[in-house]
Amino acid sequence: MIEYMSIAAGEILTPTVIGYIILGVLIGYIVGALPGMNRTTAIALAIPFTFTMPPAAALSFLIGINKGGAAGAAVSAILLNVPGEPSAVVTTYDGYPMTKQGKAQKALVIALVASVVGDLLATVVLILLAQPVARFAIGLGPIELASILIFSITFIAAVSGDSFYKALIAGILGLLLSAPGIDIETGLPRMTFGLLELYDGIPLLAVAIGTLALSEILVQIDEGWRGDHRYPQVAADKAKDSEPVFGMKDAVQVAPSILRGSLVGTLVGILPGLGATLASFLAYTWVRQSSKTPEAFGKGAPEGVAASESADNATVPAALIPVFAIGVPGSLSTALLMGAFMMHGLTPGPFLFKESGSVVFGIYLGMLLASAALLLVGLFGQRIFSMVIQIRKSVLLPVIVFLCIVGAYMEAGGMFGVYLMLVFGFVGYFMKKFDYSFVTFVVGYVLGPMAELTIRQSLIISDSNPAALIDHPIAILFLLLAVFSIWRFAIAGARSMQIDRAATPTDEPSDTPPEGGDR
Amino acid sequence: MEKADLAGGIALALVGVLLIFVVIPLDTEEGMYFGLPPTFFPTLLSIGLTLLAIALATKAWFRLRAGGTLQQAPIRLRNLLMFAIAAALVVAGAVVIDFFGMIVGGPLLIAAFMLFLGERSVIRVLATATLPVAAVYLLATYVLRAPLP
Repeated sequence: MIEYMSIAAGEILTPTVIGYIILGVLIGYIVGALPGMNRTTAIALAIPFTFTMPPAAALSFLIGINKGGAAGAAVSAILLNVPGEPSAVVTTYDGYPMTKQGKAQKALVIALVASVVGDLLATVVLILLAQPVARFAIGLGPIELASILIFSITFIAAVSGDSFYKALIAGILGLLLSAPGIDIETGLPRMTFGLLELYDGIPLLAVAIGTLALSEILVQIDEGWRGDHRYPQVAADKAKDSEPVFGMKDAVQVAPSILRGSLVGTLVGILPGLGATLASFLAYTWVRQSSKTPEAFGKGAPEGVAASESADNATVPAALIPVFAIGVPGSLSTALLMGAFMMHGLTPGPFLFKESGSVVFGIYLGMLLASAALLLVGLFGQRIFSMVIQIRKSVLLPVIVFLCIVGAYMEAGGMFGVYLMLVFGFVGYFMKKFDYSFVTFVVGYVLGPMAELTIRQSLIISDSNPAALIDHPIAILFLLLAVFSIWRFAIAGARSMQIDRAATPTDEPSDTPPEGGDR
Repeated sequence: MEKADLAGGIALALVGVLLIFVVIPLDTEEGMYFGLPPTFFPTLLSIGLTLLAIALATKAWFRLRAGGTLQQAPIRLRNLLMFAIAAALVVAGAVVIDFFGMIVGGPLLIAAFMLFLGERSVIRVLATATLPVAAVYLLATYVLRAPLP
């Protein structure tokens, strides 16, 4: 292990790689702060630019974007009452009232401190937990892995979106997308339509950039038709504070909320599909219920901002635990990161620590550096970010369309990837409009090859006999959990969850959050 | 959303049937293998897709018969028109980049999109159309050494 750590330190602790990490956090922060943009879009667009970087540096850069995006979303939530991502909706409840009271800077600093602490604590949990879980997962056979994958996809479908059917259909479409190419067992071409470019399968970035980035642009242009081509202005007087920004008294006041938020964010982040939005809602509700002054919430309570932001950021490292340990992503951003792992020749899952131990430790180190970068970028860049959020859509959207084309070209090395990306952009537009879950779609696509391999192996091992499951209690447990999650969340619980969310109090309703956040 | 779900369910069920009976059998090469055929997994998924799509359509049909909800249609004609123009611009931009390269096509795409989105400041259009393209060109060529269109 010490050998791995020294190799990792040699790779990561160089000015270039540290620069990449800071750049990643900065990009994430800016994208997170921009209403309507989100970190998954930024990660999808940034992956092609990492091809020439060493794996640990590339993945630290991408995780830096993810971390920065989660923290940056608070800026527009606090200053404009427009959450940069859905997960920052809860931050608007108390963040914007604080701005109206002349405490904008205080709210921004509390959000930043909460984000950094939540992120750091969850990163430590990741470092402590991932390897032991991976060690346990090495003992799992194809039948157990297949049942875990079935559980993951059904659970994500059950908790994402309003319609379980549509979410599961999206998951199956994602799995189907992984089918074209050379069959993994027989080596025979399948569903390639005679196109040599499809022999390696459908490129990840064409799917990711098309469905996540380009479709979002098309939806925003569609909304722009109704006349709003620029983001709201930040009132100059709202950015000035009437009292000291952040002192020891404030730290003592918000510390318990940050710890509660971090705990909720970490636990929710580990579970597939629940995501940052639910984590921030749960943390906010817990902190409000345990407060001596619950009536202050929704009117500018710093604890509300702290709980929401710490939970949001804690989900980022926590969501990587199942990726590192068993190779199962639970959110859009982790699905993209898992794709990036594979593009850099790494196979997420139980063998990652054995096969690429130094890279894993490099990523851990990069993540810790990204936490520090988050604090620095947030402290020194907040004035800049409050200006950045006013960039016109008419400037921003065309540049992103251009980056979509360049990104798709760089992965496939030709225009085929670009045209495929356009197709998925149009598919994604209609998926967004008709409310088909992107999370299950992308997760299904990324898990497709592993799902096929394990299901086929399971059927061969068991001779297609369901009675063989008796010898595999872990598989039975996960299959039962899959059935339970469908029943509990999709059928019995969907309505009550929606009611709970709708009932969360807010002093002033915020604007509709953009779609496509990291849930 | 019921009408959209009904239409979507029917369309997806048809896609599933098409996959099971046409696309997968016709577009998978035959050969010698041990175990399950290469068509197994996509066929299994297509069956699942068809069943779920039928379930979605049926549920939407019953909701419609029961009166449905008063939700706004997800796409109206105006949205579709906007989408069509934006999509045409993106496709045209990709074609221009394909034929003339990124240095020519990139600024044209950005400028056309900005004008379409209502931007009328010439300086802003020129700056936005050229600076990001130049930055990407320099980054890809001299730092990443990656191919560009």
